This record gives sequence, structure tokens and C-alpha cells, in this order.
Amino acid sequence: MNFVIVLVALLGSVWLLAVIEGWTTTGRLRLTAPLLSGLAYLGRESIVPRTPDRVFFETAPVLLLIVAVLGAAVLPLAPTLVIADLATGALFINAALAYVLVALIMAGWGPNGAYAMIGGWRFLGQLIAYAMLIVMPITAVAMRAESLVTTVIVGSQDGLWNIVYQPLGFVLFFIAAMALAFRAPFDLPTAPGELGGGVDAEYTGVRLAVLRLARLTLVITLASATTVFYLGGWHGPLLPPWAWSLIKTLAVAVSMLLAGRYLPRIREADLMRWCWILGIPLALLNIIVVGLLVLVVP
Amino acid sequence: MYAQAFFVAVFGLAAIGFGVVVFRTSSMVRSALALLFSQTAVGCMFLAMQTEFLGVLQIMMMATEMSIMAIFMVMFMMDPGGMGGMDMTHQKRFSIGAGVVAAGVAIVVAFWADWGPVTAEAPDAAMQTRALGIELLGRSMLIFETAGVTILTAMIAATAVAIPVQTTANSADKEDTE
Amino acid sequence: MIEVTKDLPRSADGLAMDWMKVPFGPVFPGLPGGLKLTLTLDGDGVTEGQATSLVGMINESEEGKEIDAETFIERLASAMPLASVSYRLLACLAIERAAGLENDSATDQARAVALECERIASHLGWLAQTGRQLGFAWLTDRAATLQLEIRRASGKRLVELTPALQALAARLGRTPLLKSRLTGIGVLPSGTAGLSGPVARAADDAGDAWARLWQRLDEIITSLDYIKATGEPGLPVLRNIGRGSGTGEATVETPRGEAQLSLILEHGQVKSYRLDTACSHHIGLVATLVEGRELGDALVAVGSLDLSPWEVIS
Repeated sequence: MNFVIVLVALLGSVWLLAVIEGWTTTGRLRLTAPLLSGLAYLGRESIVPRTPDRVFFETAPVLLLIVAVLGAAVLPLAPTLVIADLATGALFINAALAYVLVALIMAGWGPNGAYAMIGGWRFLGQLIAYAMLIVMPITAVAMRAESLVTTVIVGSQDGLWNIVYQPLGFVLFFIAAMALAFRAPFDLPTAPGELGGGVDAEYTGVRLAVLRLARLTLVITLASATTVFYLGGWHGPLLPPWAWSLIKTLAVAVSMLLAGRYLPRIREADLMRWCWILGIPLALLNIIVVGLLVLVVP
Repeated sequence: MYAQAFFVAVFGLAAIGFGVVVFRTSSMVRSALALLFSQTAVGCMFLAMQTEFLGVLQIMMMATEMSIMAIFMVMFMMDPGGMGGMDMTHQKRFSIGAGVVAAGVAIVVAFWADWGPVTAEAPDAAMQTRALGIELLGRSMLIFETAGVTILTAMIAATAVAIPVQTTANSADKEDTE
Repeated sequence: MIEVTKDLPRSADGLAMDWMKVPFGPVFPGLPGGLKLTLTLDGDGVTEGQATSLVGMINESEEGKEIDAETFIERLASAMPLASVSYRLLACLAIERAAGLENDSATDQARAVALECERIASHLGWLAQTGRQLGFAWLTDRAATLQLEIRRASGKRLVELTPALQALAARLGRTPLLKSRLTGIGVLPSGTAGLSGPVARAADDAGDAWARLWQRLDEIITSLDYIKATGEPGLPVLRNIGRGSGTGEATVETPRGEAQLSLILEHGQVKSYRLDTACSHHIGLVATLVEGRELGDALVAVGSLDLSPWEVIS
């Protein structure tokens, strides 16, 4: 039952996000637009490029979708509304999202095209920049909760959300989450102005529909993770817990969307440099500060 | 119990299957990713055997490690896409012999070893994680920290060795070859 | 392995890899349409590249074929869709001089205002294109909206738009990541041969893509000030030249740099002409700009030149 509810919530959020994305780009609020364009994709020819690595080409969009859904499976909407309340939930979401990289490498290598291949390998470089900034802030979150269980992590934020308790961790995680979801300004693997779509470039028709759905689901999953780890999950007055989770998740997802609209794409070299020279020391500092807070403040 | 055995078997066979693919393809990238999914299947076996932390850790680490291996393949190997139909196997006689011997040893060990009494109920995953944490930061801390620092040193040293030293002699040499 | 790679060219990092020759354009989201950039890629680094125009004009007029002066102006203007007013003005001036007409200050003023209007619109078009290349959606939307308004605007309306344009410039100054994206990219020092227009003026500053951005933003404001002080724009129309004959030469500072036209007029017909534009020279600089750069940086460098493939004369 939980499985169905969470999946419906995920799909609903993806639809809302797509509507809002269309609203910001075209200026018109059309509720049916994502469904119609999805149907239109199904009706279009799905071209397979010349001499592809067929296995990778076909698997990549599906793998990306599966990975995004798996990540969402450990994130609670309400105290009992979670598909799998794993004892290692905070680690599991890292494990699931590590396969975003694998999916993108497959999508880059599969079509046998220069734009896609550069995009795919670029994301590997991007991983080296963001990976530590995903894992280290989560470590600090788990330190406060003294648990890797996502429901316990939300429970530990009763009264004081982690965004207040460890704001530095939140900022780093938010940026790294955007890089992991390859949203603008970190959209190096797709980069329409540089690679003409990159890993997306060779996908058409049904396959592109799956890829788009997977990308939006990934954004929702990461927004949901941000909510669970930093924004107190289901905590909030008046409304029922699941409603708070959904509202916060959508708010984070939309803020990711808008941040990209008002910023130019980052240079690959700058992303690496800032993540390593600035990001990792700050993440370590965050761990030390949280450690001191946990030990000193009762 | 039977379900558990079933999943262990399924993931075990998947691990072997992907392992075979590593050598049956001529594409380096496919080979690397097949190895990745073989290792992922091993991680899933850990999960089926109720060692959640190890399983998740294995699944997480392999994704990035094997992807990085794949890019090294692309960088250093000619024909990483296998367009020329390169054969991945070599030293066939020796490797068949080594494989048979290793399999025999594994089977012998499996049957002869004293595995002790079967644990009826594994401690729950949270307890395991806690015990593992205490082990890692207690008794074994020195071992793991030493290993970690050693590996880091080795990586930095290897990178330093791999960068060619720029001297006037070899930069002139470089210009000759161009 | 060593036998296979030993004869391959080495890149800057010393790794021998297969190099790929990849076309960017003629229809590429990050580059002006009609421009074809061919880059030889070593990983995501560019080892060499050159740009060609697929829509440029051919300079030589057909032998013995005379064109009516009015037709010539229309043709030249429509051949340069990104700066049609400038080339219309250029053709008018050259023909009028060939016919021996004196300058008329009232007409000149209206024409100059029209030219400055086009300069603002053209720079805004470049900003929108840059926004598209950098994935900066807000810039693309804002610059494109302003560009459309300016193309339709009268002199008075233009003055009303001044705060919006100043706000755009201020906003770009405050945008995070933009400076680090453009600084040090596509450096063209002031001594470089063939520089003209905003690219040349920016070369006196730092000469990189960031300097060129600010040069163009400054020019927008300067042009607005000029329009404010002068008056209404008037589209260049050929004055009555009768059936004059002679040779004429004119130079116009188009939005992309200096354009020069010399022509021979016989009885009101253009017998032959010779056109020289800034883009014809700038396109040759692409090879040096992209060499050894990361792909994204190389494309930004090419984009910052504001090449109009129509204005490349071959």
C-alpha cells in the first residue's frame, strides 16, 4: 500500500514540477501540457543512431528512472509512510544515486555520438566534484540523529530543523544535489549551448520521454532528500504530515529550478576547483562543528 | 529461509553471469560495466544474507570505482568500443588451469571447513551497523587508518610518478617527435 | 599498446588518444545560425578548429551585369539580416558619394540615430544568444524581449526604455558565476591584426569575453545617450541621384565593426562594387582562440566575437 501511495505522490510531484517548469519557460500555466507532450513523445519516431552500443543505449533511460525511484523508496512522507525503512537508509540513498553516474555514462557511450560521449564523461568529472559534498553533509546529519534510519533522522529534527542546526551542511548539500541532478547551472552533461543536448542529444521518441521523466523524478527525489535531511521532513503545524513533506519537497524542487534560470552554466574547471578547495574543507568543518554541538550541547 | 536461499542463488548466478560477460565482449567499456554489475550482484547477495550495511556499501562503492576504471580504459586503450573485435582473453591454458584449481580449492574449503552452528536469527541491521561502527572506531581503528593513509600515499605517489618531469632535454625531444 | 599509440599526436596532457573531428553548426543552439565551426577534439579539449560561413556573400559582382541603385541597396540590406539598417546606410552613402551628392545634415542625423538604434538591438540580440549558449535562461528572455521592443520603438520610446537597459547591465554585473565564466576566455590583445568594432575597443581593456560583454553594454548606454540628444530615427532612403556616374566609397561603423563599400556607378546603375566587413576578418581569429581550450571555453570565445555569418565575405 505504501508503495502505491509513495509512487503516486512521486508521479504527482513530477507532474507539478513539469507544469511549473513549463510556466517559467513559456509564461503560460497549462496543467495538461506535461501529459500532452508525454503522449506526443510516444507518437514520435524513436530513432536509433548508427552503430550504437545497443545494450547501453536502451538501458540508460530505464536505469536512471529505476535509480531515482529507488532513492525515493527510503525517504519518508510521514512517520509510517515510507516504502522501505532501512536501517541504513541514509547510506542507501547514496548507493542508489551513485548509479545516476552509471546511467549517464551508458547514455553517453551508447549512442556512438561525440556530443553524448563528451557529456557522459563530463559527468564523471562532475561526480568527483560533488560526491564528497553529498556524503559528508549526510554524515553530519546522521551524527545528530545518531542513526542512519531516515525516519529517525526526521524525528531528530523535532523542534529544531537541521537547516538551522547545520546551515553550512544544508548549503553544501543543496548545491551538490543540484550538481547530482545535473540541473542548471550544473547541467554540464546536457549543456544545450555547448553540446547540443549532450547525453540527451541522440534520444528521441519513447526513449526521450523515459529520460525526461527520469530526470524530473531525480530532481524530486533529491528535493525530498533535502527535505528529510534538513527541512524537518513531515514536521509542521496544522496540515497532515504527508502534506508538509510534499509542500517542502516541491518548494525545494522549484527553488532548484529557479536557481538555474538566473545563473549562467558554471565552468567545468571552476566547479572542480571550488568543490575541492572550498567545498570539502567546509564539509569537514561542518562535521567538526556538528560533532562539537552534539557532544557539548545536551 | 528458502526465499533467502533463492535470492542468494539468483544474485550469485547474476554475479557469475556478468563476470563471464567481462571476457565475452570486445568492448572495454562494456567489460568495465559488466564487472560493475557483477560486483553490484555481490552486494545484493550481502543484502540477501542480511548484512545490510556491507551490501549497501558494496553497491555504492562499486558504481563509482568501476566507472572510473571505465574512463581509464577509454584513456589508455586503443579501440575502447571494441569496434575491431578485440579478444579479451589471453594466456588461455594458464588461466583455465588456474581457474580449475581455484574452483577446486573453494569447493574443498566449503565442504571441509567447520562453519560452526548455523545462526538462526541474525541481529537486526541497526545493531549490526552499530557493532560495525564500534569495531571500526575501537579495536580495528589503527589498522583501518593505517591502510587508508597508505592507500592515499600510494595514490599520490603514483600520480606524481606518472607526470613526466619537464626538463629542457625531454621538451626538446618532444619537439623533435612533433 | 605502445606500438599502437606511438605515432599518434600528443595532446597537452601527454596522453595519446583518438582525436575526433566534430562539427558544431550550421544549426547549433550555442552558435549563430549559418556559422559552421569544425573542432578537432582531444577528449573535451580543442586541439584545432576553424569557422566557415555557409551563408556569406560572394564579393565579386557578376561580370558586365549592372544593377539598379535601388535594387542594389535592397539586396545588400536583405543579404545582411542581422544588421540590415547599417548596410542600407552603407550602400546609400556609397551611391550618393559616387553620384557626387553633398552631405545633408538633417538626413545624416536621422540616419545616425537609426544606426544607433540598430546597434542597441544588435547588441541585445548578441546578449540573448550568449544567454542561450551559457544556459542563462533569464538573460535570453530579457534581452530578446528588449530587442523586440527596441526594433519597434520610436526615439521617444527608446528614451523610456533607458532604465530597463541600465537595469539589465546592473543585473549582469551582479550575476554570480558570470564573471568567472567569461574572464580570461578568448583573449585578443590590442595589437591583434584585423580587430574592429566592439572587439577592438574591448581589446584596449582586458580583451577577453568579459571585457567584450561590458564594451557592448557600455555601447548600448552610449547609443541611448546619443539618441536622447539627437532625435527621431529615420530609415536610410536613397536621395535622388538622377543618372549620375562616378566612383564612391563609404565606411559605416556597424554593430560588429567597420564595414567599407566602394563601388562604381554608371548612369544610376551599380557597375561593380567591393565590400569589406569586420566579420570577414574576425572569423579568421577563431582558429587561434579555440586552440588548446576546453570545449565550453572555446565556444564561449567564439560566441563573444559576435560573428554574423551573413557578413562574412568570401
